[in-house]
Amino acid sequence: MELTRRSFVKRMSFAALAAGVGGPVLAACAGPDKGAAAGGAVLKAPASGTGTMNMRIWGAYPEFVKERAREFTDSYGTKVDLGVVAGDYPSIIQTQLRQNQKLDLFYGLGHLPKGWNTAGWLHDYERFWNKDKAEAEMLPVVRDALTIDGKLIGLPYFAFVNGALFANKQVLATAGLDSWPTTYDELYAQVRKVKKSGASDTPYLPSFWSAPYYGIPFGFVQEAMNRGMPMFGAGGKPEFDENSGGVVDMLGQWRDLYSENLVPKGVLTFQESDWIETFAAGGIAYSPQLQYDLRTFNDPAKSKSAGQFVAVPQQGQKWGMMHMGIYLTGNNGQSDEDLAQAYSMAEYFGYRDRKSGEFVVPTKWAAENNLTQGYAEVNNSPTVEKAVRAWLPDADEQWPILKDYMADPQYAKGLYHTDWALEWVSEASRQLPQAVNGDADIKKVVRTLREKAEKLIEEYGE
Amino acid sequence: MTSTATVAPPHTPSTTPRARFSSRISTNRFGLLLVAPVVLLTVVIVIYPVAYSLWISLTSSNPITGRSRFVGLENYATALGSGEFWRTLTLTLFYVVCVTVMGTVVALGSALLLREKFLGRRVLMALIVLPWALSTYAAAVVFRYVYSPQFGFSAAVSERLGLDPSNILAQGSVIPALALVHAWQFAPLGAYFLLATLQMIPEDLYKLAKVDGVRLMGRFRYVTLPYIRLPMAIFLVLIGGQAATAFDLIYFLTSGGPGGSSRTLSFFIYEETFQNQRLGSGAAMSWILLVVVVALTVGYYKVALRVGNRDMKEET
Repeated sequence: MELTRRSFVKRMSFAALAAGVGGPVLAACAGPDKGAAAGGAVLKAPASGTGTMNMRIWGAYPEFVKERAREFTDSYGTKVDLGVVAGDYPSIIQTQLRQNQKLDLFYGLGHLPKGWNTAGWLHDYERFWNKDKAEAEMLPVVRDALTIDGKLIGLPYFAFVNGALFANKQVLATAGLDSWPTTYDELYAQVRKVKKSGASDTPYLPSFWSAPYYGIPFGFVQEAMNRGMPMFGAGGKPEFDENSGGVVDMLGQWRDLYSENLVPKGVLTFQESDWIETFAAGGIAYSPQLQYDLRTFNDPAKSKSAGQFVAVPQQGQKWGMMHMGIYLTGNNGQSDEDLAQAYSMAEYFGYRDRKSGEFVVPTKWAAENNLTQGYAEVNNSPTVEKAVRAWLPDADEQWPILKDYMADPQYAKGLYHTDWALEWVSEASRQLPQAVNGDADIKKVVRTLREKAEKLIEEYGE
Repeated sequence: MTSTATVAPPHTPSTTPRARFSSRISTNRFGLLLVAPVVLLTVVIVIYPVAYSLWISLTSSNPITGRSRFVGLENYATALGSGEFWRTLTLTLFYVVCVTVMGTVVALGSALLLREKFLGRRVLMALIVLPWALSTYAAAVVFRYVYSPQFGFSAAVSERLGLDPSNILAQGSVIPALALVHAWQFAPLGAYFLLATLQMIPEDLYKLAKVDGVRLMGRFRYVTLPYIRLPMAIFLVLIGGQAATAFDLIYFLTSGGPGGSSRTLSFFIYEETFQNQRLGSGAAMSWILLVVVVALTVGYYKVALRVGNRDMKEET
């Protein structure tokens, strides 16, 4: 069709009209102001599923999640638009929340939701119909972690100890060691003995990796807490400083481990996968790891020393601290009906299947992937115990040790329940490696971290 | 009865009034209307975001607390007065120099090699372009394994030579190590740029130079270089600007580590903007980075033109 000036101008007029109408329509699509759906009475569980709910996850076991999502759709009728977020997950999700994007259900970590909740980006779970029952069944540390400003912020996706101390029995046997360390000082003394014996050139693999899920700040906080050092008080007030020994001495020990080549070269630029692969490759005596990876280390398909990796018992002093994933729901001004559908999906993934009354998804996570859950009933269930014992070396001895790790772990609530935890751990992930490799004075690093916390408190309030 | 037939004139001029539009819109205006969509898109996609980022750089806002206020040039002053900013800027400039030098050497070397006629030249031409075809993420993954002192290529080579595997991504060597990957990926573009020009240089010039007793380096200096100066300047601008704003390779390979040793200005801006949600500070630093990139670009061109003018004077 020939384009004449007249026809062109006419079409442009229509386009302009459409744009004029479309603008407000698009604006309306952005949803009402935040908080429109916040508060209110407890919702009723939806009788049937409708429409599509979206779910955003990081790249762990996407096929497993996809299968569970399909089962949820088959059972409840709600379709699930599942998206895997690659890269810097916290920053990407934070940006999407800030932009008021629709996020019905998504993963979070313990240090993330406080600030997001303050900003009004999240829906709490106070209106969830089974809130009281779910809370009553949670491990106390999980319930405490998920209760922000007195409200349940989400449902547990996983709960395990980050920094559970694992040992490679083969290396220890070669080094002639037959007793477990009970403190960090004993651990580091044993590490030196292993190196001296020639059983391993780099006998220790610490949580010194810094990207992108904050390995070294988590390692720093958990070791200090397990050593009984005060870290963060109420409102995130820093209780450590550069003058009272404590963390300064601890970082001094870390620097010694690094400078004496007791740890693998390049550990400061490791990513999580390197951390796991290096330990699984064998040749390292001890490493604080994610508790659920014990299965990976004992999987012959992924590990060169499968059957040799065990958890070191806690004898007085604890190893690691509680680390948890959370199912969260974004607040984009959705209706009560949509919120109830989001709760329904969260309930299926992070609590009990409403139809059978069983912990369906949590039990599958724990049994199939050793991803322990925020509920004792799941972690101690015969199904899970049987599944874990099937691959766990020295199962009779190790099963109680693993249960003990989950019994009463440390949790960095003082830090994680601040609006600025994400920013502080980002800063710590830059500062701490400099203390380790000698780029910066240890006291200066500790002072910087304390001052950073103080500055953030000043900016955000306690 | 007679009838009078009315005969219409064979070509009655149309009495339909002229279209309102055409009477009102001149050819110039019609032309403007035609480009209006492009202008509109440019405003929406380029001008508005740029202006908005300039505005943001003059504000201090915290989306968590919801506080936002106009602070004028405070973000710029804070950045310029911060030791961390200057440290990251220095690292950025070091990175730019490393990438530019390495990239240019590889590009020029490849181009000179490919200009020669030898068996397998076509295969080599195809192979050389491969790094450029790789995604940055793939390149980063490859080099994670190349550099790994535990199970990497470099560790294997060191072992074969009876040496202790060294940590290439340690604080002292991380920037050149990253720059090498960047140059490896970007050099093919320069190689093809320069090769196109090299193939235009008349062979007779080299023959004459040989007759005059000009040695290899002299032939390069007096015959090759004058021809490739302009494409080289363009390549330098491209690779320099790319290096100054590099982010993805650093993110995937070191995440700015160890301990901030590879935290360039782009990475710092990313942290401020997306991790710390300090949009004002991030935007201000982005504008400073823009000034740096523009300054680098102008600097490259000036140097290239100055050398070109000097050569012309020498010839006359």
